[in-house]
Amino acid sequence: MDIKVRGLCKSYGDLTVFDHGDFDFACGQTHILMGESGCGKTTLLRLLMGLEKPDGGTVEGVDPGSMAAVFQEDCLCLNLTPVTNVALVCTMQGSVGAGGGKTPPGMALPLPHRVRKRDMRRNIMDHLERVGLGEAAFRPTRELSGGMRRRVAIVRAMACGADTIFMDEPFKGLDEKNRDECIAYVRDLSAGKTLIVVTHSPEECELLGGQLHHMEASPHGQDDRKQVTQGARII
Amino acid sequence: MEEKRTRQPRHGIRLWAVVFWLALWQVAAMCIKQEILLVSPVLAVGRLAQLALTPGFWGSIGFSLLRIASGFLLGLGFGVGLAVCSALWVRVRELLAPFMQTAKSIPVASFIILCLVWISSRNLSVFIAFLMVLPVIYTNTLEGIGNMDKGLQDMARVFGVPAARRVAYIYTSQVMPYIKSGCKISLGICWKAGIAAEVIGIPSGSIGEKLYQSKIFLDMPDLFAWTIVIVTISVLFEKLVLRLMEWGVYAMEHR
Repeated sequence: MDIKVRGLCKSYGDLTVFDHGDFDFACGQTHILMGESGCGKTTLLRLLMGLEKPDGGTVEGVDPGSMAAVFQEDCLCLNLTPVTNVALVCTMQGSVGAGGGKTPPGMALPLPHRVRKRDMRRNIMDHLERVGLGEAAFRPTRELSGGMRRRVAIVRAMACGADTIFMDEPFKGLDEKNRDECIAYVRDLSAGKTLIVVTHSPEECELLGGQLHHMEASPHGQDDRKQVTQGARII
Repeated sequence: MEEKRTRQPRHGIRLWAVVFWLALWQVAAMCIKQEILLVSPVLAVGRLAQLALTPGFWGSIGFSLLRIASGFLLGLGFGVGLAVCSALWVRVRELLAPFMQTAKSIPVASFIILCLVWISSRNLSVFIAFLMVLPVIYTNTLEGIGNMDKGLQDMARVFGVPAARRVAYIYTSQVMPYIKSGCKISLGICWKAGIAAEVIGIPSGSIGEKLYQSKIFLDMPDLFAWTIVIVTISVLFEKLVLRLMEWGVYAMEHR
C-alpha cells in the first residue's frame, strides 16, 4: 500500500513546518528525501513514523507493526552488545528471529516457527559481518566507535524484517569504504520494501538509487510553506 | 596520557583511611584514660569477641536484621511500584506527592512514637524502616523514569518492541542507577531509623534492646561493641543488596 500524506499541517509555536502538504511514497520502492537543513525532512519522517502528531491532515499506508528506522542519533542501548541490540527488535514476521517466508533475500534461510536463540544470533552475526562488525558483535556497544554504532543501527533496521524503513542521514559519520559497504547492504536488503532515506549527499543518492524527492521552500515566497518536487528516478 | 587524564577518582573506603581513624580513636582513648567516656577500639573489639560467644548475640542480630531488611525490601518494592504508577498516571503522582513530602519531612522520633500506639514494638522497626526507605526510592525511581532516553523510547515504539523486552532491556538499565543511588542513601537511613525504633520500643531480643541496656548500665564497651555490629551489618547488607541488583540486571540483559 502506498504511503499517502494529505493536507499535512505541523507547527512548533510560531514556526510552521508544514502547511497542508501532500506527499506520496510508492510502496516497495526507495525514496530519497533531500533539501536544505531545517526544511522539515526529519519532522516529516517523525510524522510518518507516528512519533509526532500532525496538527492537521492524514497519513495513510504506514503499518505501525512493520516499521524500522535509523534515527539521526543511533538510539542504541549502550550497555548491550550489537547482537543483543539487533535481537531486541527482531520480533516481526520476516525478521532474522522469526519464521515465515519473508526472510530477507540472500540472508537467513527460511527458519522454523520457533527459532532457537543460537540460530537467531548466527543470523544476526551474518548481518553484522556484512558491514564489517563481525569482530565487534559481542562487545558492549558503549565501547564501539561512532561509525561502528552507526552500522549497528543500520543493521538493526534492515534485519528486523520491517516492510517500511525510515532512515535519517543513515551514513553520517562513515568513511567512504564503510559507507559504500553499508549502501550495498541496504540496497540488497531493501528490495520490495518501502525505504525512505533522508540525505544531504548526492553521491549517496546515486548509490542508493530510487525516487528523488526534493523538499524546498514554496516558490510563492512564503518561507514557512514547503513543497516537494518529485524528481526523476535514479537508477 | 589520555587514560590518566580521564581516570575518575575512587570514592570507596581505603584501608589507610580506616587505619588512620582507628589509630586516632585509640590515641584519644589512651589520652582520656576513662572507659566510661571513651572506650578504645581494642577494648570494643575485645568485648565484641566476648559477646559473639554468648547465646543471645546472634539471635539479636537475626531479630533486627530480619525486621529491618524486611522493611527495606518492602520500601524498595512499594517505592519502585508506586513510582511506576506515578509515571503512568499523573493523578497517582498528584495523590502521592503530599504523602511522600510528609514522610520525608517528619522526624524519625515522631514517627516512632506515633507508630508505637498502633504497632507492637516487635514489628515497629519493620514499619519505620519501610517508611524511611519508601520516599527515597520513590523519588529516585520517578526521577530515573523521567530522565529516560527519549530516543530509545522512540526506537522501541517504532520497532514495536514488546513491553516485557522494553522493561528488561531498555527501561531497567536506565532507571537502575537511580534506584541504586536511592538504595545507597536509604540503606543507611533505614538501619539508623530501625535501630532507633528498637531503642525506643525496646522489643525483647533486639539489638536496640541491647543498646538500651548499655545506656541504662553505662556499659560503654557493650555500647561500642553493638555499634560496631550495627555498622558492620549495615555495610554488608548494603553491599549484598547492590551486588544482587547488579547481578539481577546482568542476568536479565544476558538471558
